[in-house]
Amino acid sequence: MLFNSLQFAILMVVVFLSIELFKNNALRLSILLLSSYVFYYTDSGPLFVLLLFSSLLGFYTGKKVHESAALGKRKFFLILSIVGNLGVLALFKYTNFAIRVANDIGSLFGASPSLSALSIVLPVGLSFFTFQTMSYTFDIYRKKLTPSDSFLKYALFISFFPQLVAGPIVRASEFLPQLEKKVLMLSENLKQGLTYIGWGLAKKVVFADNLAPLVDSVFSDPIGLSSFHIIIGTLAFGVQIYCDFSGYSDIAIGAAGIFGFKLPKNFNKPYFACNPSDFWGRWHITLSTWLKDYLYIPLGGNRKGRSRTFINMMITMFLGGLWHGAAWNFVIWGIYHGVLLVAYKWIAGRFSLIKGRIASIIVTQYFIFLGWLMFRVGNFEHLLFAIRKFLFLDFFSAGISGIMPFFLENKFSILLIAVFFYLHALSYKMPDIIERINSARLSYWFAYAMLISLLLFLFTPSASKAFIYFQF
Amino acid sequence: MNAKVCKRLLYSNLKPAVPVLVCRGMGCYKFIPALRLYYSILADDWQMAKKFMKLRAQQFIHTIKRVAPFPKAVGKARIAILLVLAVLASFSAYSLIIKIYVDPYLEEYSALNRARMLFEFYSADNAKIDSGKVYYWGASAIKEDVDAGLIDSLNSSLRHYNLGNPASTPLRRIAELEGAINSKPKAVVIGVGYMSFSGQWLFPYDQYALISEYVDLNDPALSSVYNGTYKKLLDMNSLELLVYKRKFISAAADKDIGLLKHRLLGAKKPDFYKKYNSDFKSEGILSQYSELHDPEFIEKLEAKTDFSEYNVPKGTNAEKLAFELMIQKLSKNKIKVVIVKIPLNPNLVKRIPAEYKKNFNAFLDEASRKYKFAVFDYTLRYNESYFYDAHHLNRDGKEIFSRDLGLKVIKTIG
Repeated sequence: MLFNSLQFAILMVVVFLSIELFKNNALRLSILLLSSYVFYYTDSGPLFVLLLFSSLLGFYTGKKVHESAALGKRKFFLILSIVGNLGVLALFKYTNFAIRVANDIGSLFGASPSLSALSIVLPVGLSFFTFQTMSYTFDIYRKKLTPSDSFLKYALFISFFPQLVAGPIVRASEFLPQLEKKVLMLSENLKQGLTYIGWGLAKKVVFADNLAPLVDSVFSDPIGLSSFHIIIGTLAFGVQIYCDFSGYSDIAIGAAGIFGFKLPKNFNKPYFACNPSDFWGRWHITLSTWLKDYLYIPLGGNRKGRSRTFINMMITMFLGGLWHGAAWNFVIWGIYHGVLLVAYKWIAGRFSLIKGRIASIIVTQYFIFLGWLMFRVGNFEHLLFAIRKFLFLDFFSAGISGIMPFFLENKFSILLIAVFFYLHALSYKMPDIIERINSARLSYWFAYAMLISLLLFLFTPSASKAFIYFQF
Repeated sequence: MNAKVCKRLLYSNLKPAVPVLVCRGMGCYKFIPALRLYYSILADDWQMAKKFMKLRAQQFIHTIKRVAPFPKAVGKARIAILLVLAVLASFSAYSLIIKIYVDPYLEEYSALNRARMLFEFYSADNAKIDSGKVYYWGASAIKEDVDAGLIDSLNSSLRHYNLGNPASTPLRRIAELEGAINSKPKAVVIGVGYMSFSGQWLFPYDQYALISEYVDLNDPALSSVYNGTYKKLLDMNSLELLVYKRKFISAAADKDIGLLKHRLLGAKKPDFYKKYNSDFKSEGILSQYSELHDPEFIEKLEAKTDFSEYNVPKGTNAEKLAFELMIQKLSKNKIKVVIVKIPLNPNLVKRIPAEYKKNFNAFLDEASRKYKFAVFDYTLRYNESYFYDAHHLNRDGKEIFSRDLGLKVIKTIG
């Protein structure tokens, strides 16, 4: 069920009215849980049991970890939770990738590919809810959290529909306390939620969906294209993925906000990052902090010397890349970002390379957008070609006669890219623009709602695309 | 305590000045407008009452604002109503944009409107009373190659109408069958080529959407040949069509950019299709075919490696089913059917795989035996000097073909 679909709007209205109808808090929570399951079932069908399995496993192991006094027993239940969740993740997400790798290795030694791929469907949101479950058990193990004594509340934390399939990844310590309070649907929550939903929809529908055809046309077969095509395609993809994912996050934050729940911020103007480390503090914040807290720091973080820090960074980013998808390009993308972080850390400690914020933003973004190529292009030959064109510019190899038809054919998309960067720059000077809209007079808010709906009516493409992060 | 005293004074029978003075003395200024209002109503002084009512309203709003700062004073219902109103207002604005920007573009600058104009043609009153009409159906090869005016002049009592429509195939055409039958033509001449039955030609989705208001999908014959995508497009209601039309906004903007470039830079003017769409005689030659031959045709043909759009399958497909259904229905309504294999450039024909040609001919041979219709084969009748490109004749070709075909049709129909 896409957020930009009529079904989702109907679900929201039904849940909203149902909660308004019943005043009992347990009943309200049950309605939210039931609607979350309905939401997940419509996308995943019978694979819905995986969500139940992960919820039950997390609830049980969390309780056991808390109750057990002996360290060995605590560890056992922690490992049980990790193995259970990672096992499901590995089975559904990485089995076919492992088979491909095994066949590739076999063929290196002259063996013909003998393992055939399994017909496994990846359930949506698997990477997100398994990570939430694991963080819950981890926090209890580290005595930072006491387990929830209500399965209803715990299950709702795992499966709360606004953030179930593509985050933001919520920590139990942030969400469970909110469930202890009464579900309150205040008018200001409704207004704020709708403001966020409108903002997110505009990002997704107006920008991301309208840029998709340009991106697809460039990267479906980039061989033979000039640097101009590749760079425009890369810029378009950078804007597309940001608007797609941050649009989703805004809708999730807004939808949760309507019911009085606060979800963490997932993006903070990532294209203003002035170094790779800064970028990861602004892009998919809930994943990067998850990886930092549950992987990088347990590995030793920066406490065990310089070289160990670099290794920990590389491992974290490698697994972060792999989390995004079972394909080599995601692995390469993760390693690339690991290298960027290590190189930045190493260089920044010795030299003062770039002076001035704007220059450092431009240099950083050059490398970030180069990374998007690795993220987007799955075919290795295509990827190498695109990287070569991105690095060694040959704008005029296609000639004006080669560029002009492309430019004319995609002028609306190119205009959208320009508008996006203008608005992005404007948002730097006007932080918290959504909050401003939200606290504006009702007449202004009405104008905002009208403008957003008009944009949606005018610019919704005939074929709407699923959110990119649904596949992870 | 003071407030209580003032409230009591409000309803006392004292002269107006006294309670006002008492209130002022006690520092309860907020009661003064109320008192004045009360006494002015008692005194039947409505002008004064109006003034104080206004003052009272201002005081009320001030109190509301003070007691409940703005966002908190807004109820959920009010937000929801505002949202609905905003959506309705923006939809009205959107409809207006479509009405004043997209519809004129479709009418004047888009060849897509040809499909709509055909329905208009069928339902026109003059079409209904004319009993000697011959329709020429087919894709652009019919539209551009058949001069119905010239055929009219061949000393016949029949009136010939070129109802060709670019990219039209039997499946597309069958949607207008009911309208055509109701307009009672004497005969229908259908131009077909390999692409008509391949099922792999470019699919004119937008034409289906634009004619949805004319098509009745309750007809089981129609439902049987269309799959889900076609049905969805043909079954649009006016609201859905209004939403669908947003996809033409960029094309309309392109047209405006083209016009601007034409005015400022002297670039080629965007094609104006209004006359083309409602032209059912197709006399003369289109400006794009003004030259005798497309100078790039041979180059483009030599570069072409994929001929799948000409691949007529051996078995049946939706196009073939639609064609047979069309013949059946026309014959059932006593409308004579003549099939014309359209003229094609020999340079193209020799490149099309033999199997495609064999399947095409076999299908038409079998259908003509089954449904007893005449087939005129013009595929290789003319040499390449008569062609502008692969499928379209040039000025000379159009004249000679129209004359040949016209005479044959008149003779066959009688």
